[in-house]
Amino acid sequence: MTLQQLAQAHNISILAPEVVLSLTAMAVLICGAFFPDDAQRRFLPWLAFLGVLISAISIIPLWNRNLQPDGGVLYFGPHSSDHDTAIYVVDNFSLFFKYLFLFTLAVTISISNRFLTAREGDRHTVVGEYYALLMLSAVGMMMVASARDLLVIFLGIETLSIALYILAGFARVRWVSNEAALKYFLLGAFATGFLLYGIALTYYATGSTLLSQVRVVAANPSLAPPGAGSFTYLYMGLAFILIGLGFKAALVPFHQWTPDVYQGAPTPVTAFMAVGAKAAAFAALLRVFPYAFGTSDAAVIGHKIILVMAVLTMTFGNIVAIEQNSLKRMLAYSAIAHAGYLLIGVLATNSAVRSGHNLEANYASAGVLYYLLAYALMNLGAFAVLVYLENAGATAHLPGRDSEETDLKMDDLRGLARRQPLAAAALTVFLLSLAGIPPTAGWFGKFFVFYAAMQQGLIGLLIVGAINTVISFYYYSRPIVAMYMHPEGATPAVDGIEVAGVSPDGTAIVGNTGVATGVSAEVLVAITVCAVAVLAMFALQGPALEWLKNAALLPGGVGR
Amino acid sequence: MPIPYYLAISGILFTVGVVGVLVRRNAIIIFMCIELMLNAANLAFVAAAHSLGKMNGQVFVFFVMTVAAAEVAVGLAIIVTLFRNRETIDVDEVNLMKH
Repeated sequence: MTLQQLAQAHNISILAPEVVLSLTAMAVLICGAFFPDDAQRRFLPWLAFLGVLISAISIIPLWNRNLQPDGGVLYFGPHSSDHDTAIYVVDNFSLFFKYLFLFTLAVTISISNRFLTAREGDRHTVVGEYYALLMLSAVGMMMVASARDLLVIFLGIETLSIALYILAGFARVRWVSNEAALKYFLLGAFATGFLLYGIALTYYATGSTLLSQVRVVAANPSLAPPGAGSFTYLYMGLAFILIGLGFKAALVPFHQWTPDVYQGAPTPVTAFMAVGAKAAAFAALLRVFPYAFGTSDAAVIGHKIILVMAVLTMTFGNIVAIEQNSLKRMLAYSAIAHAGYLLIGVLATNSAVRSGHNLEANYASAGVLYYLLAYALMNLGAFAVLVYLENAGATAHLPGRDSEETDLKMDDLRGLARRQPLAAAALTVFLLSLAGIPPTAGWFGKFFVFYAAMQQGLIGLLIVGAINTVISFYYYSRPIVAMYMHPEGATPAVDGIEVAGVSPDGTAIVGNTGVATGVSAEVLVAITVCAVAVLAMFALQGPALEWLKNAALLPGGVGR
Repeated sequence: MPIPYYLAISGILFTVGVVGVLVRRNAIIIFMCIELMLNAANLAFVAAAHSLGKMNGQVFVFFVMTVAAAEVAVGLAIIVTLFRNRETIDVDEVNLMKH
């Protein structure tokens, strides 16, 4: 069999986005090894960006791919006529997530520039590895989004996590970065153990790791193949998989790593993992729960467990966020809380699937996707503003060995609206969106998942969600109040901003001052794109939801 | 020997791993306990594959071993970096950021 025949027989073309991204990662890695430092710094981001762009373009012809006869699927072993036995599927659901990951990647690349040019001790940070790892991590996320087999989910999650472990510790001489990497690694690997053991038990109980096969046996135990374990193993498997995915999605009580890792990791990396890794975990949750376990008795217990986790996640995240003084840490707890709101949508999808309301399930799942998109935009935007402020202020001193120097505190924002009106305005938009106040995407995100919950009669959950939203207003408004209403403190920690600040007319940030103090234009572009998108998603909420409905999961576990 | 015995051993291994992660404070020992958890899953895969009369469970083990090897490479690098900077690998002493 020639390579070409092999490629045709196995539908390799549907892997185009992943392949392009992996090859670009390799190219970046090789260029990083051979080119001089300065050249790398100048053109590697563009090479990486080009790869992202080509990968995004290669997705376009794949849209609606699985309406075609071959179904846009890959098999483990020989081809089969039954698409349900595919381990890898390129449906609109996965393509939506691939767009999301590529966008996250593009934003992360554009805000990483300054972090990479900073000197770490006596030498520069390595550049090639950084972009290559970001891209390989995104490939892992894409694998998770397309997986229809528990083992492929496992491999995808490991691909994305292992790259992220390294990225979290990328500022090698900084102690907090080391600490973030160690914590992320140990707890992430611990979670992997649970996930894998859950998969093994599910395999024993159902005779397969295919989600479609798990679904069949979970719904009807008598269909289990000979030699399969009892149903108890399926329950345990479900619980362990839930623990494993819960760690990755930072659900309470598996969230302990989140604040430290988000705070200690370099800020661009934090943005990438806060959005990408969480979205990937939710892609897996949406595929595994409503679909594979949705119709089984195990799901009744699973549903209750997820319900408790949703309540805990929202409440804990919001309440602890109140007392945070570090902005990154506050955003970490806010990210935990948002995972809770997202779980409401997952639960609504789950109960709609169970009660056979296909259209409602479709809309509930589309609501989750809308929320994820909004979450991605507002978090990437907020972290981009933090990067911008860090860059503006970090010029006074080299990145040091303790966390205080680059970690933005609430007090650092005092009077920012006068010094940096545009950055303050952008941060305000993102914080309002995170709080769920119109006219921002965050408002409709909450509306859609809450509405889906109401349709499914999850009233208690709805009330908890609403109360939590109110709690969250408090801590999201603190930075806004500091920026607009507080006078400047006696000794603003980020005094560099004043130098980096605006020209006398108060508008031109990019101008000479911006470049001179190391704020790169790409960061501003990223912030602008996110801010405009957050507002546009509010204005175009109807068409957006209709479009996302095409990508939402159908009861068959395939996104159309 | 009947399959449940193997699964019982795998369960015990997994529990030892989990307890080890929770009670030990040395990063490398914690890491070894995590490896124990992964190997417990491997044992369960092999036992299940034998019981089901399928080969794919044994193939999964190869995937898991590959992933575990990648994890070892990265994990030890992280621990070495930490040791170079801080001269400790006690996870209780690695607590710069407050809770």
